Amino acid sequence: MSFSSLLKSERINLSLRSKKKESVIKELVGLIKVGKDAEVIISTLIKREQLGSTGIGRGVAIPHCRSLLVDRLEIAVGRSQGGIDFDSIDKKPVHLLFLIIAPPQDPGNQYLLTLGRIVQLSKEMVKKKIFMEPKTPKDFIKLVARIEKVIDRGR
Amino acid sequence: MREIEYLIMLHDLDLLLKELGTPESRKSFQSIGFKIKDPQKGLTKAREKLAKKIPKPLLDRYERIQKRYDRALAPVIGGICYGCFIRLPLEMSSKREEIQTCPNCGRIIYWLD
Repeated sequence: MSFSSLLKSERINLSLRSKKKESVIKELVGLIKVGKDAEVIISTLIKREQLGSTGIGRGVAIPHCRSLLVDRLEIAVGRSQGGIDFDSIDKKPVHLLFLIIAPPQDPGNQYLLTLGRIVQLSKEMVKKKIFMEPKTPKDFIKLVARIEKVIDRGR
Repeated sequence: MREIEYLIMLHDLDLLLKELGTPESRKSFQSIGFKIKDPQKGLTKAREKLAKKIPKPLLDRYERIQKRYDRALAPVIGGICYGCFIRLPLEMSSKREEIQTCPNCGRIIYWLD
């Protein structure tokens, strides 16, 4: 299954308002869950960040965790024009975020495969900052699909 | 926050501790590009703090079931316990605000639908 097919327009925010790690995690989780469920997931994501920032450098962060509160892989995407202080590996501000929440039971370890796929994709997307081009979430999904095709052709 | 939400939070934290708890398990994440510290050093205190928010008898029950099944909590989706895949009695749904256990497998259940 392609990564672009897992993306949903309503879970893509191309104009994030947050400037800090904790608030951007809240903003992204809000695209998936609300109320107490969101609070529980935010708590786990923040604890995961305490083990090492999921800011992998070059302006990309992939906050992730497993949670009992989802029964399938849930993904939210965010883009920040101004950048977010995410304590990244290279200390640079983050502009592109993929939030992944996986259920505990995960046949085929889709979680790890998806994380790997995002790392691969994001490396392409930050080249010449093409991730800044899409004007709408639908355009963003199209861009991801296009890059996926290029990556797969190169295999 | 209700007791069940603290339990879910604890369970999620235990999943994290387990998944990243050994150098081997961390390797698969590190090979992707993440830098990860040993969670036993970083999150033990956070777990203790969280566990204190759960009444002792309930926490003991959680720990007991966790030892037996590896996962003490099971979601209920469409009236089915996803721990043992048995249909739960209908009347349990009306008591979903209370802490309940599956009458078949004994896992603590929470309603996901």
